[in-house]
Amino acid sequence: MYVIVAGGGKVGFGLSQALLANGDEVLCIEKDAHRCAVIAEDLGSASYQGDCCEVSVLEDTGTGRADVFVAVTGDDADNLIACQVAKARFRVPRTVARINDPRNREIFSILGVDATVNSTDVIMSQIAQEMPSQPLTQVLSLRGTGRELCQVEVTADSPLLGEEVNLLRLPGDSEIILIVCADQSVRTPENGLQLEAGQVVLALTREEQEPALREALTGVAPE
Amino acid sequence: MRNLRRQTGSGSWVESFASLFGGKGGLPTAQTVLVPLVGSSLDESALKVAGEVARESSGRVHVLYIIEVPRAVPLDAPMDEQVRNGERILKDIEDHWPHKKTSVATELLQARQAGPAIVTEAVERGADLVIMGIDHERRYGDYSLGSSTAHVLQHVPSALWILRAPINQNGAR
Amino acid sequence: MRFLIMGCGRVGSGLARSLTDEGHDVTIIDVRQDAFRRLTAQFRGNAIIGDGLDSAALQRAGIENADVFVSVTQGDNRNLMAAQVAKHIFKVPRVIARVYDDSRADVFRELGLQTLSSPRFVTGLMREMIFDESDITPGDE
Repeated sequence: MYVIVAGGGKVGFGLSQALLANGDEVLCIEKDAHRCAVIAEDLGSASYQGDCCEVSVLEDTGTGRADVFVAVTGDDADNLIACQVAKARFRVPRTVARINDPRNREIFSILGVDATVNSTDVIMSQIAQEMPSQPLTQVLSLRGTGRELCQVEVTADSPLLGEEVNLLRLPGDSEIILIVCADQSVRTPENGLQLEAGQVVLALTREEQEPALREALTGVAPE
Repeated sequence: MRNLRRQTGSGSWVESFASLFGGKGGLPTAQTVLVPLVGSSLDESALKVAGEVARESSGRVHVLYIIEVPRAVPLDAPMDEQVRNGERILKDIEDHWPHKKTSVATELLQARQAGPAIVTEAVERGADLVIMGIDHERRYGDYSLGSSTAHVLQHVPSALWILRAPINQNGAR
Repeated sequence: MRFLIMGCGRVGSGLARSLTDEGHDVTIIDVRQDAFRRLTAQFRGNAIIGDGLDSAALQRAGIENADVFVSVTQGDNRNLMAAQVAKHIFKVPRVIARVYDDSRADVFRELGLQTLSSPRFVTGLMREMIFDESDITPGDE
């Protein structure tokens, strides 16, 4: 895979190193000559000095054959325009932009950038993982099926408490497949089974249904 | 010095050069000499000097031909014409190598930039001397060392000799 | 007509003055208060301090009612981003971005954005002055 990383700051440099370690072909474009000399010490010919928004630079760097174009400068406008030029002029199949202002996410999406990453989101998701208030956790991703196995514990304040398992309204084709009881015994979701505190419910769902399932089983609405 | 100047252009200037170090046998020793061909008018001279040094120290010579691959294509893209040209030049060197007891090995490489490739090769081959022949180049109306030479000068860990052509000899470049 | 101009440099301030003189409703927005010194005391339009890349600032500047949006800051990418936001998010009927880089201007023109590439424009005028034997004299604009 050929990945172009536009912007050789801390984020772009680190990302380039990680991709190189992963065995990908990488080119990190950095505008500032001094900064570029610094990252070239480590990245060697995987670094390139130039303005990532200029058509001639993207031509020189072989953007036309890039699989992914990632713009991670500290300037949202630069990241947007670089991605748009890469996509419109060089037909790069996937463009990813770092956004520094989270409010720009929707704008970038409307203007054709395939994915955005912002540090606020990353930190928020890290915090969310540590929080006990969202107890739905993924146990297993079933490779190639787009499906995953999740679990949720029935707590004393859970909306599941006392509910009949087969009457729960679940999104799409998500289904509960197993209930692990407090005494470690295992039950299938037969009719009439009411959920009790201390039980763990295992559900099969699809990645895109996970937020809705989370809401159904925990009562916590997605952000 | 006078001796060298008088003989510039003649076939025996390598010996004159050697005399700077005290005559035959006075050349510095080097077991492995790397000669990157850079397409200059002194490529051949660099080879000659390398041959002499290696002969003096019973060493060997590695000749490197680098094809710079534009980033618009993958690094391993077929560069048929340049490869044919490079192979022809390298074969010619092997076929006409004058030293019987000094071995010569040639290698053709595709790289994004010649400078870092030369340094990497020098390290991997364990070269104790790199010899490059370069022209006097002008760029934007000013003298230019060239990015490859500058990179090798700064980074190659081995000894480095640079032979530079006289200015007026290729002043039209 | 209601105009919103982003960037109070020489072009932005000049445009703002001439449009207000013609009786148009003009708002000009710039991140630096200092930039508004280019407007005369008689300027009858609105001058607003704010970042044209910030939708909230654009709303404060009345972008929802603007008929024309012009971005003429020093930054090509800022101009292009703001112009696209004006066109695609706020649906301003007429949007023009000034861009210094000709080739970048072409990319966005192909994407349907009106761009004015000033070096190409100046080059054209310069050639006219050089080769046209009519009475254009240096100093004319």
